Amino acid sequence: MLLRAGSRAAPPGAPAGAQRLCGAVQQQLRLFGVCRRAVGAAGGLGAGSTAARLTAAQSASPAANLATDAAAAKAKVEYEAVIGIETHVQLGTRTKAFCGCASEFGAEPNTHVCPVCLGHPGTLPVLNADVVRKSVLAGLALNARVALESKFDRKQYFYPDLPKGYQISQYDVPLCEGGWVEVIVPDTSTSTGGESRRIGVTRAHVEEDAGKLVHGGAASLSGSDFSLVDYNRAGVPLLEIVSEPDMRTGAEAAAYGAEIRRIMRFLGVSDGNMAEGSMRCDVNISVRPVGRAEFGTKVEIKNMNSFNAMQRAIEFEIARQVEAIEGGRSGEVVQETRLWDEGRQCTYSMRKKEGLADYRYFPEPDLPPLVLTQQWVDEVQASMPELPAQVRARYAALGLSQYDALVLSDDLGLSRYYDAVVAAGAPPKPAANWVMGDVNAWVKEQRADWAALPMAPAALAEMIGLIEDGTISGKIGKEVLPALLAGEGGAGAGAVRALVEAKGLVQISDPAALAAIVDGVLAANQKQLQQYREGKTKLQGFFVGAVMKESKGRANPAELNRILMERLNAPAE
Amino acid sequence: MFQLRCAAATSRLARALPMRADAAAARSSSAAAAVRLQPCRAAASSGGGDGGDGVAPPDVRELARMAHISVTDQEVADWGRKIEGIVEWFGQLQEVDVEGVPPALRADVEGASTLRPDEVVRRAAGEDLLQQAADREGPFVRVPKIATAADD
Repeated sequence: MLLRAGSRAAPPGAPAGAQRLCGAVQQQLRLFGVCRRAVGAAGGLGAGSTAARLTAAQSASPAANLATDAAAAKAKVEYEAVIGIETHVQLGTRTKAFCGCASEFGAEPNTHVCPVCLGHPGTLPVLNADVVRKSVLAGLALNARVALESKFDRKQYFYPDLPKGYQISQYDVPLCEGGWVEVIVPDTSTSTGGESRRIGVTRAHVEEDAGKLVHGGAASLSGSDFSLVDYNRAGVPLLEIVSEPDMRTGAEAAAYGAEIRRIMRFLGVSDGNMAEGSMRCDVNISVRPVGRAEFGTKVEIKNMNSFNAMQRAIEFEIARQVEAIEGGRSGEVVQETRLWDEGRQCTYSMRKKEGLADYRYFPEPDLPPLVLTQQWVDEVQASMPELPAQVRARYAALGLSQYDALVLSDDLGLSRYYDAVVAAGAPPKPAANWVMGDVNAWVKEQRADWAALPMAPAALAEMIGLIEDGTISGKIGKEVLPALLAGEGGAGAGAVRALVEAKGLVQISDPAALAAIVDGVLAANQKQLQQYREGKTKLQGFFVGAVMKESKGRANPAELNRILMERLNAPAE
Repeated sequence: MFQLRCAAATSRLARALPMRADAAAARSSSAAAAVRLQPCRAAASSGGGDGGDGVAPPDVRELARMAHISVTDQEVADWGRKIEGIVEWFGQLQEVDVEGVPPALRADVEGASTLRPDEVVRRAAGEDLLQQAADREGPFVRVPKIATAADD
């Protein structure tokens, strides 16, 4: 029996046995009327509520309720899930944890290796100072206590991706203990934000990653008994963050994971890229009847490469465990590791979990204890950048809704850009709408970098100012935006106004000019005018459209409306 | 040749010994420092057959399984006695009263940690290292596939 350090990408395609089991579970769920989509829907129940309380009936779709009515009527036990998460965050240092090899992702296999990370005899590890700084920064941001003296231990297991035969980790004296994170669980039903929850952080400790096993290619096709190993990742520093079992729903777990990632990104500690494996979440999950103090049998799930997948995996697993217990097959819920199969949208058994003692931890004799001074920790604390929760609070103070604050603080680049637009004088709410809306859409589509956007924040601020003072309409703003995004607005004051004027886009607000256009439109549409005056008042929109078309979109909407209504409702001549 | 294999295997087995985590190790290493001046043999003779409270009696087959090495019945019988002897000997160190003695896990570093600046050290090439691998395929090291199911 082998256990491996972190979660990592599973071999493509589940083992045959696992596939069978997965199929069996799906079949059971189908018997209960829980189709694949319904499992996803079941989790939606939990979203936004304090605790997901699932009954067998609730965990199925409305249509499936019919099928489960009998079962539900027989035993209306409510269940809740207990969820804890272990997050492995790859620290964004230049070099590995204990040697000077580069730790960058995507290099040619086995080029970033040396005698230390390959575990050659006689070599000694030396701890990377930046690993310590980044870990302490992260620990402090998680409101954890930083131990002034911690130590490293060897976690023993034999696996080809682990050159030394042990992983250097921290066992009983971790660097950080006893923290918490405040997360907002989005309320999907209203999209107005969500409920705030505090999730405990048991500990955060430093460890090294293992190499990467490649199972694909000719080796797997021919069913050969070989795997290929790339040791570039062996020795790359990780911070393992262990949560308390404080979460009850997939939505809460996803919100926790997203907040951890946001914090790490705001700190500059990790890029948190799940697809590249620089952030990996292992979820521990059990279900129990509501009101029972003891936990149910704990199952570990791995192999989720997005928070969305994590939420769906948890929802599937809650449904699977509840169905098993409700169906009198609680023996099917055993302590094991299951992998999430994204294609099939289910979890399947990977291995039975073994006890903690099998790792045979002992203190790493090659490394001295890690001793820090309070003064140094205080200095790290003083260097703490603004954290996502603080950014959200600041945005709330600007008068933004919780939803806007959430969206704007989701990404560091986005948040900084927004701050610069507001700093350049744009009013907060319109600035939020522009940045979150059209600008964000463009950035996503172009995969652009916020920090290097051709449109200077000041240019956007100037355009918003032109809308606010009535020089251009919001509609014209949208038309002008692509030019600004391409960098045409420059960064100097007045550049956007000059651009708008040069393009002839300045709004027509002059009552006389507008009245002339309105009169022209009315004269050209006598039939509709007649109908309007006979009571078909919804033709108002037709006239507004016609005037806008006539003015090439430049008519000041408020002024246009006023004059149009004046003319339309005037007594017939 | 056999000697070599035996030595390597024994060291892997030693690593696989189920110590009760580091508490026991911490105690025994600080104990080691404390008893250095005492006649160890004498201490050993008064130790008795008790394996000590921190160390389980060795199960060579289980250890070999964890260390991924195959052992013959003869080796199990032979190594079992030897390992038990070593474990017993270390177990006696645990009888030393270390109440109030701080664990001395490693050499004294006098309160300062040795840290390395986060600077990349470029090696000329990894070829000399990769040549040590028994089998390679392209830039990869080729290893026997580990069947986790078989380990269960």
